[in-house]
Amino acid sequence: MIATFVEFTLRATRNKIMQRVRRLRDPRYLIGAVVGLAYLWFAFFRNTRGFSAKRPQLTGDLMVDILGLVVLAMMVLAWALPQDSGGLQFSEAEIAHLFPAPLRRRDLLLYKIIRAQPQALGSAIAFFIFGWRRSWLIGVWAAVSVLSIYFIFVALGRARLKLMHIGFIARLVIVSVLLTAVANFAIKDIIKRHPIRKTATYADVRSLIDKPFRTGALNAALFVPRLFSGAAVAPTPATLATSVAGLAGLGFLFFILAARMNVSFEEASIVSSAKRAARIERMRSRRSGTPEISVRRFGPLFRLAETGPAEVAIFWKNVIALVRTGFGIIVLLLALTVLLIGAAIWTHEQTAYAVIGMLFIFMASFFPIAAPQIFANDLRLDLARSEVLKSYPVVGDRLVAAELAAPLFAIGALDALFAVCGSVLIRLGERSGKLANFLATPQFIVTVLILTLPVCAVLLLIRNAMPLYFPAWTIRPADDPRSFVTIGQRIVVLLANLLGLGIAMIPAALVFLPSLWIAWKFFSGNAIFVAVATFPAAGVIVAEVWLGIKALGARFDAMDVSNEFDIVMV
Amino acid sequence: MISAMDYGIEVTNLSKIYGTFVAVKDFSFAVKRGEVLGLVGPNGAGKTTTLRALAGIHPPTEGTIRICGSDLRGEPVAAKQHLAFMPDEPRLFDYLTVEEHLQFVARIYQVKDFRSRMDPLLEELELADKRKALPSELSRGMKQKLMIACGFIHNPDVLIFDEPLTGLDPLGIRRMKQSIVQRSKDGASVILSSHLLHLVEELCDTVAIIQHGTRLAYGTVDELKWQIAHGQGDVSLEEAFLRITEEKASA
Repeated sequence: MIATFVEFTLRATRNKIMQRVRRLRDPRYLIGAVVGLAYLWFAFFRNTRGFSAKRPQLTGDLMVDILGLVVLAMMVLAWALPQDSGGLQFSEAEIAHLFPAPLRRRDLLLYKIIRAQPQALGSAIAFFIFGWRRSWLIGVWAAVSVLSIYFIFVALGRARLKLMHIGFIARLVIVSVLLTAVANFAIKDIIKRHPIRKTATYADVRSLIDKPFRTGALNAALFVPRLFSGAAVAPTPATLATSVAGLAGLGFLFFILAARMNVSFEEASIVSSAKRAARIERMRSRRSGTPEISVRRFGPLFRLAETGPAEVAIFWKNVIALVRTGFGIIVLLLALTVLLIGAAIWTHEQTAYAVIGMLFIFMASFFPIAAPQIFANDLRLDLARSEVLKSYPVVGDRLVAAELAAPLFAIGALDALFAVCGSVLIRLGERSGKLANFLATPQFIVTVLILTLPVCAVLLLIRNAMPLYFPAWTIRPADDPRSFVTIGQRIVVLLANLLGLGIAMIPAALVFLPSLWIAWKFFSGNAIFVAVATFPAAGVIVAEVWLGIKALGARFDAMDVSNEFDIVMV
Repeated sequence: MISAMDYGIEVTNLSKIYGTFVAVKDFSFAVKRGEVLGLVGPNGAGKTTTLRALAGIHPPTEGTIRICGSDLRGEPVAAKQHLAFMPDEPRLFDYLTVEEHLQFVARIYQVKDFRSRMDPLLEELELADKRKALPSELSRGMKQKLMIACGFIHNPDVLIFDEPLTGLDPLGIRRMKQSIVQRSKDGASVILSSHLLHLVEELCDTVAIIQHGTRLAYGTVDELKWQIAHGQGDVSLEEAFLRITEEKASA
């Protein structure tokens, strides 16, 4: 049986790796892989290798001891987890094929352990490459594997305890009492044996930390956990060999204990696996653009007449979606606004007004950039249903414009609120400098109101353009797992969004600067100053938005849904 | 004499090619008003591709499609105003209730008497007590019914069904069949694809059999059976389908 399970695992792993490698022939995966690896390199690898020499590191036995302490905590706390059904995670296919098969429970456990090895090895490799330079690949692999066998043993042990009428509360109390007693005893023991002296050098502190691990109760309690940590970060090959040998015996022991418990885990495993599948499905649907509904029964904000422009129906639909899915964030932002204004009024100090006012201006400046990702209740939300949208009698550009309207108004309204609050608070507070004086004027508020909607529209347009023009970069097949390739793809998309925004703003900036100069030169102090300064730039942005909507509409009309979304249905 | 306006659907030389893969090749047919056409074929024959092209979801590589006289490519809005497409997998808006779905679709198609149409439709499709439910609270069959209700709300002249009975219970299947027959009697052109050949035999006036994107046979159910039986004895549509597709495969 072991040979069969091993062969199956090897073949499945080989197929999975080959599939991933073959996929790299597609440029989007290759570029994603290169960028993702580069990101991980700079984020983790470079840090651990490049800077490690410049600061003191925990090495040798002390590292083994501290890691052992963490493992000990994990091993003990595992008994205090609430799950007591004994359910183990199996895939739907495994349940369908293995559970009805003439296999003993210990065979199923054996399968589970063998099947987990590629993942354990993957984790070990990732830890080895990106985590800790001084780790041992085989040691980390052995530690992760045996720890997973231990957790299976504990999961079944909790179920066995339940049959003995020792439930979650009792286990929690026992574990808490045990941990408190051990900690209490250990601390007293440490203080008694190693009185704290006023020492300041690194060596002294290290010695102070190091010694308690070598003597007394802590030393005894860490005997088994040290096998795990000793294998993972062994200071010498001898420690590695001893620890891995010890872990092999320990793994065998945990497996025998788990098998001998003979807990009926099949039914609980089916339930547990179904819950996991539902959880993954929810995550996937969120990833594919369907956010979770937070307020299920929030009615439409306005009544939809039976006839009239069809675009209004799309706006109505998206407003409902925005309220039902974004209610929490809207309430949070409004609460934050009220809180900040309340704090300013409560302190009633000019400095507080000025600081909180500037905070609002800061929020108003950055909100349009971040908000289109939060309020994605537009075409992105409906991409999974584009075949239905395309069957409606609405032309592409009108549909795109209608789709953008709901988040545009929500973002525009909130942004204008922040800007107005900021301006009013700065006006009430102390001001120094031309910028602060300008921010406190009604002209600033008018400028914000004129420019906010066009700028937000550009940002939303760019966000919606990505999935329409480059769907493969933004929409992944449902069975595509997350990986460093996905991280790379996301970084590329983010950079493309920023590049698009930069390019879109250049014409408006080129128009804004001379118009501002003209307004400053000829209309300074005049009522039409703001209009002269901002309207030309706003006009350019509006023209860009109009052209963008036309282009996106044409793209939507021409888009071959089945082809673009990697689903060729025939 | 039959004029162009007597046809709900007219398809001429439809082809759909994905890269080098030919999904549909040179496919022509027409569905008169009040007629039900069954599109049958093995898996991967090109049925769904054909139906999606008819619904304007993806543009054909070649050929023309006219819906109630309007060219789908030249006058998409006018053509789509007449049709309803019901995919095999219900594509619903997760955040709209049953009632809001119908309200939304009614406005898209400019249905003036939406309120008076909604209640009987919800009764007909057994969704009356689910009007405030979100799609996540509906079973697979009920989602399918809601999708069909959205298709029926504007009394379309052309109905396109892709596997219409998937997920429905026996009573739902009976009611669905009655709905299709009734709407065809009221003058709608109906095209449906299904693997359930007894359903096709029961509901359809004409049948088109396709394989590898190519039309193998096209005619009334009786004509196809007669063609296979060569005038001797009686054969079922299933038998006719199997013989036609096997003959083609061995040719």
